[in-house]
Amino acid sequence: MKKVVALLLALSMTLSLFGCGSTGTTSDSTTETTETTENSTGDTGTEDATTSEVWSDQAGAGEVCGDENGKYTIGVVIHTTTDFLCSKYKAYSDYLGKAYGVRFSYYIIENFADETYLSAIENLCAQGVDAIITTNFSGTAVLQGLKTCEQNGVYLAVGWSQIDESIWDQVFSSEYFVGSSYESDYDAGYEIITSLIDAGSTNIAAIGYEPGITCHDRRWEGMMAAFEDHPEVNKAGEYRGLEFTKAVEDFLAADNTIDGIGITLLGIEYCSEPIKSAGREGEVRIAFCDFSENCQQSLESGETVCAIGGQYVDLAFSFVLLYNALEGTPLDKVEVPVNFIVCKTGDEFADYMTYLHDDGVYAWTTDEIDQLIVSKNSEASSDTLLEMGANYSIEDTIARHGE
Amino acid sequence: MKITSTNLKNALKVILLPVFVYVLFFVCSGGNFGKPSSIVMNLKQTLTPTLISYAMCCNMLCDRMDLSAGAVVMLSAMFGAKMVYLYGIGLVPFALLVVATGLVLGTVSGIMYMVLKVPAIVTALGVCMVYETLSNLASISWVTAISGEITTLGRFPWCLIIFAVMFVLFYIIFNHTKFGYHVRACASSQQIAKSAGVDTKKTAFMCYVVSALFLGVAALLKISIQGSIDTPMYMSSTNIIFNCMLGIYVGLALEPYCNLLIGIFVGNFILNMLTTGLLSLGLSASLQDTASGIFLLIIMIFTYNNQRVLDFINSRKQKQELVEAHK
Repeated sequence: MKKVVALLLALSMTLSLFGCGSTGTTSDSTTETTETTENSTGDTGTEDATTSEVWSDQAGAGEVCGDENGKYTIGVVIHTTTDFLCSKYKAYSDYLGKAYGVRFSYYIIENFADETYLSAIENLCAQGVDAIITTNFSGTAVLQGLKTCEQNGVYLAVGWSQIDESIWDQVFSSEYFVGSSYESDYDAGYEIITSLIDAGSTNIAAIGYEPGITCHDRRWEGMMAAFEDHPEVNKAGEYRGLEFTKAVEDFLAADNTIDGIGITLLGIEYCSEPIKSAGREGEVRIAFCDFSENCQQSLESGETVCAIGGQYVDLAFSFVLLYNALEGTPLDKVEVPVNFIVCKTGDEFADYMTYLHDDGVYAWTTDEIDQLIVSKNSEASSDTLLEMGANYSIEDTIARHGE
Repeated sequence: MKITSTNLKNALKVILLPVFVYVLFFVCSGGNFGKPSSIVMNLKQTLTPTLISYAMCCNMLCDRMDLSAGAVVMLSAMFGAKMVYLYGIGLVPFALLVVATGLVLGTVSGIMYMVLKVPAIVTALGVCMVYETLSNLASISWVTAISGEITTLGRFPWCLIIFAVMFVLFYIIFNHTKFGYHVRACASSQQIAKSAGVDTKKTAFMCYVVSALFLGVAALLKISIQGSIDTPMYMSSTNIIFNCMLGIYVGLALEPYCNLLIGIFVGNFILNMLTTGLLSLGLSASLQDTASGIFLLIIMIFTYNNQRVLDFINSRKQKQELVEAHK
């Protein structure tokens, strides 16, 4: 009896780990928010739509978008598809997928452990995808993932993360690696601190995601460099971990002269309530990476002095590199640095929303992407991708798409 | 008169511990630590962990380690926040929903333990993983947040009122009910308690039910005070309970001098002061855990052994007096 019970328990534990592994198909969704706000309470008109979107497209594989009957299937390994950033990422993939006959199959991961990524890649390969985009895939595990792709004849692109220098040559020499793209995370980290300093903060607490994810590591390095370059500013303390809200509370309790918090992710969500709870509203400024729909209000109120984001466009680079490879006309392998969008005022964020993020609006339209597809433009090259990444900004988008 | 004097002495001993920690950090930080606003913040931060400690207390006393407690708190809070987001429910339904979810999830843990008949820690690990996965399903992103009026219960005086009610409730349950006596009997020895007619199985199940209620309220306080709840990953929900367990250990160490409930509260308050104190000394996050562990060990060693040291000193004193009397 005990053996049976132990077996059942082991099974339930295993299922809880792989509970995300089914392959249902759900319709595309574009959820808009990462945060529960009072505002949502009054909006009964959109309630049903929101309900179905949030509950239907959650964890695990089985989130499909783009062209349902597309000639290629690209698997995307990502941590969510429902927050402000990732829902737009998914919407962009839907837009591109429908235009180019590509089916996107999202594989949601619960954490960023190497084994989670490797398991995701193995599962996607087993499902028979033609190519994979891994987001935030860091460290030397990329080589292991690439090996699995090679064994299965699947192309791999890495997004939102810079390839580790120590394995760069090996990765780029692989037949099945098409290239990667990453954001200027170091500069973003630097900007977070300098914008707080420019806003008048003199005692700043630094908070970051726990070490191990390249993009967050780079942001942290940038933040630390800014502190070194500004010795006149006091670093109230540093925290790298997973309990961000508690870290903010602890900092505010330990030092009531803190007037700035720099955080590598989702600043409003993690900092706003603890600041209010400590009775320091209006006294503590925040700066961070990752936009959310609350940025508008927070930037206008002055609580947020700098919000950095707009990295959903990363998809375009992975897509172009993979699509050309799948068509048999690969571009030169390239690692594309992509600008962040930096917003320091409510107006700037409003522009971002209008020209880059609102429903149906994307940084590069299919007409522009066509110029990067060799089968449609024989002169397409990776250099254009590099230019796109370097020029990416609100102004550039307005110039291309018009007011 | 003698009883009052002993009580006063014991109360002083209990108060001495946080005062010692306060003075130590106040001096070491050159006055940076320990401003009134910081202490109020510490007090607020202590409320949720103390409720979780109370929730875990009965099971821990009976040698059952409920590692799923953190996951229950996170999932209940996340479920409530998600309902606010999806259906725009108000404060009262939100509060009731979070507490009810905690109650259901905690009770399910208890049922699993009773039905499966495998060690509590094994059941709890399995349940914890299942609940963490459900949290992932319910989450919107890295963090699920609420704001505005829905966080009212996290503000003064509401959070204090809720805590006070739960404190009184647990005091009555633990000290003045048949269940409380049974728990303490089982804590001493399950075998003897069983021989004495205590229904140990029923008591074990009731421990989970009581725990569930307190976890539900702890979840409500946690999300109301913090305004957000992280999506658990890498068994991170267990992080919540380890600090609370330390609070219980400090409480047990202080039990000879005060009621266990007060001891647990003091223990959690000290732990929070430790964190902020170490921060005010400028210690990096990685060193904070190490320093907290060492500091806590020192406190525990002192608390568990001070009576032995006093006995040793007294016996030497008595010996000397006897020797002098014989001279």
